[in-house]
Amino acid sequence: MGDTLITVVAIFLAAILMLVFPLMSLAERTDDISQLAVQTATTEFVDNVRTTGKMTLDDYEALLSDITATGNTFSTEILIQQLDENPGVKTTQAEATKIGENLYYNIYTTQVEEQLYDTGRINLKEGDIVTVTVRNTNQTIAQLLRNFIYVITGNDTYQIVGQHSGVVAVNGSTSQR
Amino acid sequence: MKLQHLAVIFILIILPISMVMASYIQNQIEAIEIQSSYDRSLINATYDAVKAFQLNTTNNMYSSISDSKIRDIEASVNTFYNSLMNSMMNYAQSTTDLRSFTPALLFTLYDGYYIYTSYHNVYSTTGEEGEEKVDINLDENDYENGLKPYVYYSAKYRLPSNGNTIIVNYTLDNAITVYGDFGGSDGYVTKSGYLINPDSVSNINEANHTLTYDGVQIEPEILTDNLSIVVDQETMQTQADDYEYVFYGNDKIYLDHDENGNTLYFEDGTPAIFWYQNYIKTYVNDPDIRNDISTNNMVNNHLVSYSAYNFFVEAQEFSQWVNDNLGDITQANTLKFEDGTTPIGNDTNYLSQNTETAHIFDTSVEGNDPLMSSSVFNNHRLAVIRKSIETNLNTIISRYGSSTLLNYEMPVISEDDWYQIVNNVSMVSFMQGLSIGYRTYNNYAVVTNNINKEVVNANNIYIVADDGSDNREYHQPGCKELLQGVEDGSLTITDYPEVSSAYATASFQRQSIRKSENSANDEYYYLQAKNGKYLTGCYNCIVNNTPNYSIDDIIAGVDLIDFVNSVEDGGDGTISYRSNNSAYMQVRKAYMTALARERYDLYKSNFDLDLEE
Repeated sequence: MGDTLITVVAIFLAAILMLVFPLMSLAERTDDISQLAVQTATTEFVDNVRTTGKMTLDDYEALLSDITATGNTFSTEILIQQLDENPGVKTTQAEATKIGENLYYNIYTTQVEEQLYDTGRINLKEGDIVTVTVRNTNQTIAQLLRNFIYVITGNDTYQIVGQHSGVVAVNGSTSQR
Repeated sequence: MKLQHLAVIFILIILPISMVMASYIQNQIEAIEIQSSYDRSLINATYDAVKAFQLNTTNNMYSSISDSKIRDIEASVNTFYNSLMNSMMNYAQSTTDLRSFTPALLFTLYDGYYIYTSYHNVYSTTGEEGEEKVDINLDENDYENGLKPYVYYSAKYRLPSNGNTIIVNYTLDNAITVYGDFGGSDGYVTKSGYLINPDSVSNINEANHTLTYDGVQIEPEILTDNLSIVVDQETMQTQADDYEYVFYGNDKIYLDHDENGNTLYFEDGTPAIFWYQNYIKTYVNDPDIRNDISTNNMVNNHLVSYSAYNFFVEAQEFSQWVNDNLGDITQANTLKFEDGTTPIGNDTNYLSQNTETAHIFDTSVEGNDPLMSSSVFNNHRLAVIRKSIETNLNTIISRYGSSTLLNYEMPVISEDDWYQIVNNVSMVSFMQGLSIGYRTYNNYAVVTNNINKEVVNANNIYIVADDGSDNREYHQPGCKELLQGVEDGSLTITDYPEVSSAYATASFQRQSIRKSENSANDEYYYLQAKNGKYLTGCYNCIVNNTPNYSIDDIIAGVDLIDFVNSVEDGGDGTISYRSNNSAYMQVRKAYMTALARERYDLYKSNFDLDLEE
């Protein structure tokens, strides 16, 4: 009787050691690689916007295809903060009479996408700020397996994230389209 | 074999593989992280350097003079290394360290470029007698970093007619300098000027200083700047007012007036004119200048500028000469940069833009108006500038001498980046040799300089519109709001005999007055601020930076199609403004006049070399 119990425990342990553990380890590596790919794609996209002064639909679609090539689904958040240097803007945060108290207008993902699909590009100017955050929305295999063993609570848990932001360095030009 | 044994063997095999994999991937991740942190540092440092150059030049009245320019560039180089050092603290010990990783910094300016790199510090000369040869050979490895001599954007051509070699210096816009032995009765000629389509200038009226350029009536202009003048040196109290100005010998001369706006006169009856120096009025004492301004530029008590008119008159004359003398040159006549003697001939891959058999300097034909970015001249100009930079950079980077044993190589620069480099005043920095994991870093960063007094690009003109209640906004010429406003009468733009509405973008930048040691007390003002009220940038085209119409279309004077409706972007090609629309014509006139005037008034160091008899 005791022998049978030990055998069952041994098989169970062996299964975990031989199957789940290597699988988890491999899945984690896959996620690491996805993470790397996503972070690189995000950084490239943002730095490209910063040095050219324009965000184009082509670049945006290249970013989307790059990150989805990892086999996961993602939510992409883009925030563009447009600098308004005009003196005399009436606001609660800035001094209206003073020169140099600048304001930023925020443009969010849906507005960015609408304009990109509409006109194919968004022109930015020196001083604007671009922030892109990419998070996975599906459960990766590593997450699944991990949840099988120990559960992380909350629905905002994500495994793969790429984030980059920066100030635009040049005025985008429209003369060449 | 028992099951347990199998399990143990399995684990023994899998575990090391998994561990090695994990460590390898971790390494790769770190390498990419370091790489992107280097990228970021490089872009940021380059941006800081460009910003330093901008600040130094826009606040410097003499920024275009070459000594001053070298100083500004050296300051910008220092900023670059300081900024890079700050963000690379973890990876480099000192700025000297960093120098061995940055083989070249390229500064492209209006008519040429500087490269900051190492040079071998050897002083070698022959004395007066030719015998007392001084040869100070410093240590072989003693390299110093500094600016290499200025290189002009130039190309050599072999004239198809007689085989003589001539040289053309290009610039970032349509100005060129031609020199060389043309043979025959012409002999050696040096000529500079703006290249336009000579046939588009007509109806030149010398007395009134008017002409017609491609359907646009070019007239004299009255220009104003809003100057903040220190009236009390003790308290540094300032008073701002609008003053009319003209460019005289590369400097702005202003016309003084009393509180009521009445023009003031000197005792000798000439108008009271002054230079704006150190925030005060420095009155002009030279009687020649006074008389010159008084007889030539004063009309009805106003100071009048003829720069736009002069631009077209001189450009037409020059362009006609270029068409006559260089009209048959094609890209096949260009001499190779490597040796300067072999023509390119049928090698269509030598230059990045293949203009085939088109005549580069024949600007009167269809498709070759040098003001248009798609013209043959422009394509060839870009290709030549690129080739010149490419050849020089390649040599300089591969020969970069430093204390390290790195093998320096020029990275491949993307087409997009080349376009930025050859079209703008810009800075390119190269960084390589830093170790990242199993590889070494090799990358570059390009940052263009949009605010400078070096060049007036087609995009660098803003138009001021008045809404009738003393609110003034400035617009890009291709702005929907501007054209709409002018059409329905809610916005007005003015021209002669009123004050002109269009100026270069540099005039809309914030200027500062240093009042004390503490920069927190700096006072700011804008050159374009009518009657003491600041102008605001249009929210459609300036804050959003989204003009609706192409600047090339406005220059060409063709029908305007909103980008949203353009066929390339999937629209139906609906025309928003016909070429004969009066609002469009008004905007185009303001724009063309301003573009011509601002280009004419730019300081050009090698433009007064007209050596012809």
